[in-house]
Amino acid sequence: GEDGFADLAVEQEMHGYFRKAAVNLKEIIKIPGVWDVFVKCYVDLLEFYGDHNEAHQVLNEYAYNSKFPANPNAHVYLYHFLKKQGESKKSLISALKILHDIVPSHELMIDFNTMLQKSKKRKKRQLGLEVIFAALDYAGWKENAKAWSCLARQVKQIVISEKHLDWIKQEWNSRKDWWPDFHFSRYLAKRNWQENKSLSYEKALVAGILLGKDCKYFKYVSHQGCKAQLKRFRMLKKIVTRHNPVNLRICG
Amino acid sequence: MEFPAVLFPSYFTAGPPREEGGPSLVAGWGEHGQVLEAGPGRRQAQPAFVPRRGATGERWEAADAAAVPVLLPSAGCWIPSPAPQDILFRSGLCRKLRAGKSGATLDFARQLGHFFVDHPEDAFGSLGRLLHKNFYLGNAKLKRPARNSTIRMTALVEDINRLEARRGCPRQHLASRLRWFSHLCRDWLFEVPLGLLADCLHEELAQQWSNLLFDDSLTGGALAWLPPEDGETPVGLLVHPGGQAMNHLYFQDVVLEELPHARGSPAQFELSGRIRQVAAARVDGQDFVGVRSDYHCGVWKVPGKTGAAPAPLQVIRTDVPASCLTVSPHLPGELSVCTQSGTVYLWSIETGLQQLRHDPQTMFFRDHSPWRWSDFTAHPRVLSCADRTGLKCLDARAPKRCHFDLFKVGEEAGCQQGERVVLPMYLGRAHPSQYLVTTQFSMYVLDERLPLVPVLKWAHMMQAPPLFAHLMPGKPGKSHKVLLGASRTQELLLLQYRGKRSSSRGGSQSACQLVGTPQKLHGISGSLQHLPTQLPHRHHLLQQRLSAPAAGLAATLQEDGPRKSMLIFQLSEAGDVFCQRLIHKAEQPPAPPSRDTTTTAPGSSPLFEAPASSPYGLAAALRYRRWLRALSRAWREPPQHTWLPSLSQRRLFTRRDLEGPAGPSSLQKQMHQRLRQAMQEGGRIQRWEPLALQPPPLPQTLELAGGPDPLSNRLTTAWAGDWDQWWEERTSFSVAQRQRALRERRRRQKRAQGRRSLSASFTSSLTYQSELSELSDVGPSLLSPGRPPILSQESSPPAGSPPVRSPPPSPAPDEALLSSQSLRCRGIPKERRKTLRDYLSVWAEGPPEPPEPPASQASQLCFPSSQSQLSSASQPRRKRPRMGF
Repeated sequence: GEDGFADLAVEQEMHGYFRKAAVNLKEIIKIPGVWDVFVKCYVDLLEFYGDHNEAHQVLNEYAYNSKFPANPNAHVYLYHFLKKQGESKKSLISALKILHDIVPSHELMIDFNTMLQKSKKRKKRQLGLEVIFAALDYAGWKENAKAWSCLARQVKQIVISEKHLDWIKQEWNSRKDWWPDFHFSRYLAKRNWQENKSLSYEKALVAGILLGKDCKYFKYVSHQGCKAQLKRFRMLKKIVTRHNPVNLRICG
Repeated sequence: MEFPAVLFPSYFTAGPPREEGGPSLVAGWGEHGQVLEAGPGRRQAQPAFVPRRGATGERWEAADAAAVPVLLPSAGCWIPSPAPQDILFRSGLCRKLRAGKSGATLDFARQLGHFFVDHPEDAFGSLGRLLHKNFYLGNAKLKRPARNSTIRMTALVEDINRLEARRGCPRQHLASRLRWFSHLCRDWLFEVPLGLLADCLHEELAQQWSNLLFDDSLTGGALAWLPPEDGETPVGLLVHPGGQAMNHLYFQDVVLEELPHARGSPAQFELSGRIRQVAAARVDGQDFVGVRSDYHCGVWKVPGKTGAAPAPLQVIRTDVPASCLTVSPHLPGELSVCTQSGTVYLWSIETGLQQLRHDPQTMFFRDHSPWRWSDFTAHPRVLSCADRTGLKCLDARAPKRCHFDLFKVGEEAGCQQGERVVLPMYLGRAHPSQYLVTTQFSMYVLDERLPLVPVLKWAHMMQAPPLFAHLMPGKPGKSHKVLLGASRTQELLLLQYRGKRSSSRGGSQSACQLVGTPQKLHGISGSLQHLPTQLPHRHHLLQQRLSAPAAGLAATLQEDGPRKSMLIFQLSEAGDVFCQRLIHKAEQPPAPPSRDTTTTAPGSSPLFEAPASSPYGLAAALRYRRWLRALSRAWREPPQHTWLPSLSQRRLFTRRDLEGPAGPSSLQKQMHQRLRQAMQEGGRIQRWEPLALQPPPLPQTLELAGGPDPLSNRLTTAWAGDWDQWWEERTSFSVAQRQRALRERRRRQKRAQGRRSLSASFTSSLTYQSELSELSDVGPSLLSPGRPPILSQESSPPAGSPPVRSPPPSPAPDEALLSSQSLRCRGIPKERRKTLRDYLSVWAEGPPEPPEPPASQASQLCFPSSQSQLSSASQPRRKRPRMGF
């Protein structure tokens, strides 16, 4: 009836607005620059009207046009769009791989690492280890318990299975001269123990495997953990002592 | 650390900077910049926007009217660095001619002249000795046989003097005689080859001048504040340079109370060069302090416990001056060093130096400056390196392969033409991937993850480029504070920016915003107007001291329960450390506009008339008093390097030449007797007058007794309207009368003297002129009380008394001593008289420092101008810069 007619009129009017906005936004987005706000709005509009192809193209253009600055958000938007569209793991991984190449310290690297760890391909799992090691290089990740637990899980897996120890060795080679001071000093062991017990657990596990059971960090944390009679830490000591020979192979 | 989910929109174009200087002159004042939506969940009504600039920030207010000294001034005398007037050519005509051209004219000739005058032995010692017999210094014409082998120098000297009088005149014609002489002698007269000397001097002069315009060796600042480890004890460590040559490094414990004050004596290290930069970083609870001088860099470790002594760790020496030293905030004992040859090193205490980059050329376009800088980034193995054209990041593990551009002076960052990087700084304590870059126009905040596009830009509008920066990270949810400091103008600017989480639910970080209006803080020199009124020369010295260029900046935040305050330390090139406190004001209605500090009269400031209710102001005033007292004590001590000039007279005159006509005069005998008597009695001599009973004449009472003084006379007549007539009367009557009397006297003198040489008549005409000029300004000469009683005009000094004691304003004794007649009667040959006169006039011009009268005496001789005269002589004379000699 009349209501339907009125709705149609409103809808048509809205569509007119959409078209106007779309034309303007498209023009703006063509100019090299940082247009996060406009790209987001434009993609929202396009998705609302079901034009997923156009949205994909806009995001692709925003992310990969070399005239634009290397904006991490462009890749993040593309990744979220692909994820929402239910795209294949492969395309998601390739989107994140590029993000990893420009910003190895991006917070999506945790998702990337989990995704890669679940993969059946060896190469992808190796990339996962690389990604998490690279993220932990940055000062901003120093006390990120999530990242440390990712690394601890993967390293533990490798050590227990005793397969692909060379992956760890390869990553460790370029870091062995500065990670001990950067992550595993006695001062940090004390502070992490005081501030965040689970972080110190994960770090102590990694330190114990990479540096052996004589490492200052591992020694302090496991000593404190045993003193506090926490079961977790007793297990930790057991794992590290059992796999100590592995450490020699990593360092050697 | 999360990357902001949405960034402020901006254009991005590659290329050289824009032609014209920015969008508008106000450069951001009142502008909000770009806007972003305020965040999710607020869609219901009008969309709210947050601006990139101009959000409301914290309010900080200065607790005091001026900066307050923290440490007492050092005992040694400070030698100010050369000022423009020492180097530049000063001439009105020259300035007019060069008005169109930019650039200053260096006074090359004067500096070269200084060398010849100050080091004659080095300049032409051996040839001078060889040619001694062939140069004639007298006035008489040379006789025939001598003329063949001797040059009369007097004429040449006269020519040179005439040249000096026309100095700066572009159309001056060299006297032919001079040209002939210089043509003849230029090649062999000088010990040092003239061309070589001139080249070196010119290079040095140009260097000094460019340093005066902008001295980048101070970049980074030479002051560091090491806060207490636990943050509870209010004792921190101030690391600063000191000493006469700024080559002593001090680690001073400072207690942060209302006014920070030093505790105990500092740990002190003497270094072998002037300290240019002090950089510090805390790693694992230990402070590492890097110290840079031109050719040496050193690193000290300060253990975390308060009271532990700092220990030197390592020193490196560079062939080329180092321009940068930064300490790693990630790894203990790691630093980065840059030299002016374009080399960047990673310096590790354990493994030594690793060269990361060597490129004498600048990175993005050609710039002549050899300045390089380097700092750390979020990745401990990635270092940034900078020159005037931009910043690059290098991976120390593969510096050749792995690098990216972080900042380019160009259209990418919206730079202006001529904009250059002045100081980059890693802002890791606020945000691990943020970076500060200052240029002479703007400050930029960069994010490593989005290179080339500044996340924040602000035109700082400082007069001099900011060479120092200090970061005070804010707690989560609070703004970070950045202090920028300039050297020459001592400007200080406080900026606040924020990159906080927009909401705890979203967890995403919002883009970087400038909050609050940037705030200008007190410089050291601003305190001058609040100090008690000083004697003019003291005022001048104090002004010079307080307005010395700033050399460093440090600050700390202090939280004392609900009260938050900020302490800002500023170091000057004279080695003074001043401090000011800012107090955080909670949100409250704006206070009435504070008193305008620029209009307060000297000495009438609230700093010194502090109400009893505010103990802080009182403490500041007390602190200033103590500082001023220590400073004046330092001034009074005779500086060791300015000993009295001594010249040997042996070569000039024989003893007989200098002997007086007879034995000691009766006055001298009398004085000897009095002195002996006083010594026997163990008493003292208060005045040197022969008749001690006679009180010193009080000049003003004379005038008052004789009726109204000329000035009030004149004013009265002027008020009545017949000033013209008064003036006529006065000039025509009294002046004419006295002139007549003078002429008469002169005629009589002339008759009595008979024939005499030209130079002698010149001297007497000088006396005549000086008498005339004395006559024309009757007022001051009558009112001038500045003469010590003994040297009154009536009692002419005895012939044997040294002319040294005569003060400059009375020419009479000099004239008596220097007149040709008196010289002749001592048997001094004619051609030496002029030399002797010149020689003695040098002594009369610059009398050696008379000792300060003891307090009791000074109070009796309390004539304002005589006192100022005395102490102005005691002021250390400004050292002429002698370039490289």
